[in-house]
Amino acid sequence: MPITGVYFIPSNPNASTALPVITERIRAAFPNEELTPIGRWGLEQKLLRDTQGLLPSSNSNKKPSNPRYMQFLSLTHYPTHGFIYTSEPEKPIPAPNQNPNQAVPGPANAIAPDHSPSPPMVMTTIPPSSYGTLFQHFTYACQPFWSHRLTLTVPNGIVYEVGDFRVRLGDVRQTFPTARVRGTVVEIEWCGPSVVEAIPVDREDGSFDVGVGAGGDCDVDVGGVGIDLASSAIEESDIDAEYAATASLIREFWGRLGVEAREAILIPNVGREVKDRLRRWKKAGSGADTKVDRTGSVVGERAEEDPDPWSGADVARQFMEVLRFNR
Amino acid sequence: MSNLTQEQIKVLEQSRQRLVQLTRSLGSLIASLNQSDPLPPWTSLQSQASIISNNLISVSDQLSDQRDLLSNLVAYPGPEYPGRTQANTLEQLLRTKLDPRVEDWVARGRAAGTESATTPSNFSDPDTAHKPLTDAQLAELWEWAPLEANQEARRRNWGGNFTLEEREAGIENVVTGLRRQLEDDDDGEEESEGEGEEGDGEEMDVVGVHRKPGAAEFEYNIAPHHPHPVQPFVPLDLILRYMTTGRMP
Amino acid sequence: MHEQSLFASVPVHQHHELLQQLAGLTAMQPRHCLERRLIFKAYRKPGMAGRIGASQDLQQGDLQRLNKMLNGNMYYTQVVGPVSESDFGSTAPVDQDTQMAGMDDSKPYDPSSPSYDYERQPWKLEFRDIPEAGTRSAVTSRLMSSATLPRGDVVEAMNAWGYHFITEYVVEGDMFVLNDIAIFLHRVLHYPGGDESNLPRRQLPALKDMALFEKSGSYVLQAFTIVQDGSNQETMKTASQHLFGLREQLKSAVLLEQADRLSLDTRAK
Repeated sequence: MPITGVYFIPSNPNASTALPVITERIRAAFPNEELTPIGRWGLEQKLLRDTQGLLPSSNSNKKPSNPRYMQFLSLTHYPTHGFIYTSEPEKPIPAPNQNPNQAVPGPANAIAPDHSPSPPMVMTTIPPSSYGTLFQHFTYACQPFWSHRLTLTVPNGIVYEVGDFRVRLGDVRQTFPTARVRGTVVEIEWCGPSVVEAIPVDREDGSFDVGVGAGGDCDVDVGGVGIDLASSAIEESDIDAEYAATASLIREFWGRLGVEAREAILIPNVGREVKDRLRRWKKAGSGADTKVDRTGSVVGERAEEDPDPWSGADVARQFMEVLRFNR
Repeated sequence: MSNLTQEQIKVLEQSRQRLVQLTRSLGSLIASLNQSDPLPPWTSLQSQASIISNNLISVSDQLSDQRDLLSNLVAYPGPEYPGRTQANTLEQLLRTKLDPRVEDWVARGRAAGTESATTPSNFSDPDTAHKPLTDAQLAELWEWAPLEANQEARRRNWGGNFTLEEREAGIENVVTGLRRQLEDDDDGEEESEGEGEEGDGEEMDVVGVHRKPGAAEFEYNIAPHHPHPVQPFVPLDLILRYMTTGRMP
Repeated sequence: MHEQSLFASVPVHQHHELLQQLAGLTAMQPRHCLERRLIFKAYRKPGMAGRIGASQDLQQGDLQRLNKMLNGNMYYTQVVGPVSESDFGSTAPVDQDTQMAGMDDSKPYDPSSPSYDYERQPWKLEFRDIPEAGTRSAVTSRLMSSATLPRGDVVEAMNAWGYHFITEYVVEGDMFVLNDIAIFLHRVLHYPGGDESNLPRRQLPALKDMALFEKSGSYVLQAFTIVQDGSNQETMKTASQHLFGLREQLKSAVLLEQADRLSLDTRAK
C-alpha cells in the first residue's frame, strides 16, 4: 500500500477547475520531467449523512453537533473493492433491553462549537458486487437515520508520473442532487522505496505473499532497492516514521507547485491497515508454515476472494476527508 | 331318447356363443394385465370388468332359462367320434360330475351367495350391526385391515389418536368403536423427554396389532414413518420469528 | 432482488426420509451447511421521531419529505457466515510466541489441527424486507439483498452503520437445488449457556454441546427462488409457478405453504 497525499482545490467563481493551473505548475516545477499522461483514473463518492444533522433543532437555530457521515468511495485504481467510511456512534450503544423512554441528553445540551471534531470513523472495504447493494440497503432500509446527500465523481482523471511520484489529477463533479462542479482533486503517490511495501500481503488462508504489489503498481522493485527485511526488523514506530517522512516528501512536492488547497495526508487512522498487516505478519512468524486450510469450509465464496482487501484504505480515507462536504 | 330338435340345438348354440364371449373377454383382460406395461388405465380395466360382468349375467340367464333342457341333456359319443385321438376331450364331455377344481369354485360361490343373501348389510340396522362377526369374517377382516390401514396411514401425517378433520369436528363425535376412552394427546407432553435425538434411529413402517395383556380390546400402533413420532413443540411461525428477530417464543 | 418462498415444518422422525426423497427428486446429494447467523437491529436515538416542527429553514415540501423519511421503517437484519464442523470446539489459531514457548516444553505442534479464526470469518449482510402483503399468489414474496462484508469482526462497522447486535445462533441443514429452486432443510441450534454475551462469539463450542432451539429437533423446510428483478411480473409469476410445481411434487411428503407474514416481520419497532 503506497503512501499518498490528497489535495483538493475547491472551484471558485473565477475558475471552476484548477486543472490547467496545476498541470502548468508541475511542468514549470519539474522542467526535466516529460509530462505525458500514462493513464486514466476515476472516482465516485456517495455521501450519506445522519438524519439528525438535517433536523433543525426544535427550540433553537443552533447547528446540531457532531454530524455523522457514511461515505461510499470507489477508485478505479483499486478495482477489487469499494470503501465505506462511517462515523462511529457517539456513545456506547444502549443495550437492546434498555428502556427507550429514559431521558437522553439531547443535542441542545451540547454547546458545541461550529466546527466540532467529527467522531472517529470506521473503514470497511467490500467487493464491488456488494458496493451497490449495500448503498441501496442503506437508502432503503435505513431511511430514518441515513440520508443520501450527494454523489461526486471524477469521471476521467489523468495520471502522470513525475520523478518518484505518481500524480492523479481530476475535476470533481457533483451529480446528485444537482449537477455542478465542485473543484479539482490531486492524489500524490510516493513510488520510491518504502518499508511499508516490504511488509508482505497476507492471503485469506493466512499465508503471506512477499512481493505482491499491494495495489501499488509503481514499478519499483522493492527487493532491488535493498529493502528486504524480516518481520522482526520492522516495528510499528518504523511505520509511523515512514509515514511522516513520506508525508514531508509529498508536502515538499506540493509546495513546489504553490497552489493553495485542502490537504489530507496524515489524517487519523492512516497507516492502520499497514500496522495490522505487520502485526499479523509478526504473529505468523516464519510465514508459510502456519497455513490453515479453510478450503471447503466456504463453498462458493472463492470467486469473490480479494487478494488484499485493505489496499488503498489510506488513500480512500484521504479522498473522503477532503470530499466530506458538510451539507 | 330322440335326436335334438332345431330349437334345442339353437339353445345349445346360444349357450356356446355366450360362453365363448365370456372366455374371450376374460382372455383379453388377462392379456392386457399380462402384457401392457404400464398397466392399462383404470378406466379401461373397469370397462373390461363391466363387459365380463355383463357376459356373466347373460351366461347365467341363459343357463337358468334353459335349465330344464340342459339338465336333461345327456352326451354320448357317436360312432364316428375319433375316440382314440380325442380321448381327453371325450372324457371331459362324458363327465357327469364337475371337475374337482370347478366344484371348489362353485362351492365357494354358493357359500358367498347364501351369506350375502341371509346376512343383511352390516350397518343398515342397529341391531344387526352389533351382531358379532363370524370367525371367518373376523379372520378376513384382520387379513384386510392392516394393509388397508397402512395404506391410509401413509397418506397422512400421523401422530395422535385423532385426525385433524376429526379434531376440528370435535373429538367427542368420533366413533372409535372402542370401549376405552382415547386421549387426544396431540400436545405430546408425555413423550417429549429424550426423544428429540432419535432422528437417526432405524426407521421402518410399522403397523402393529396386538392384544394388550388382560384387556379385551385390540390396540393399534400406526406409525408409518417412525416408531416414535415426535411432533414439533414450537410451531413454524414462532421458529421463523425467532430466526428473524431473535425473539424467544 | 426478490425472494419467493414456501415453508413447511418437518417433524424430526420424518427428516431422514425427506432427505432421501429430496435427494431423489433433485438428483443430487444434500450439501450440508452450517451457518452462524448474527441478528442485528437498527437503532435510532430515542426521541428522534415525530420531533420535527415547522421551521423557517424548511420548505413545506421538504418537511413532508423529511417526515416521510424519518418515519420510515427500520429493520432487523442478519449477518450470516459459513462455518465448518471443524470450527466448532476448536481453539483459536496458535500464537507464534506461545507456540515457541510450547516448543521448549517439547510439546508437538500440529499445524493441521483445526482452528477457528474469528478474524478470518467471512460474512454476508442478508437483508429481508417484511413479506409483501396481499395474496396475489400463495407464496411468501419479499424484497431481499445480500452483500459481502469484510472478514473478521463486523460489529464495529455494523454499530457505525446504525445496527446493534441482538443475538446469534447457528443454522444447520442441507441444501438442494432443483432447477431455479433452492431447497433448504434446516434447524436452529443454540449456544450453550444462554445469551449473556453482548457480542458475537470469537470461539465456537463443540457442536455436540449446541442445543436444539426446537426441543423435538424438528426441521424447517424452505423452498425458495430468487428473482433478480422483482418488478418483472412475468418472472415473478414463473418463479411462483415453479414453487407450486414443487409443492405438488412433495405433496405426499410435506405440505409447503406460505409463511405467516408477521412471523417474518423484520421491521424494528
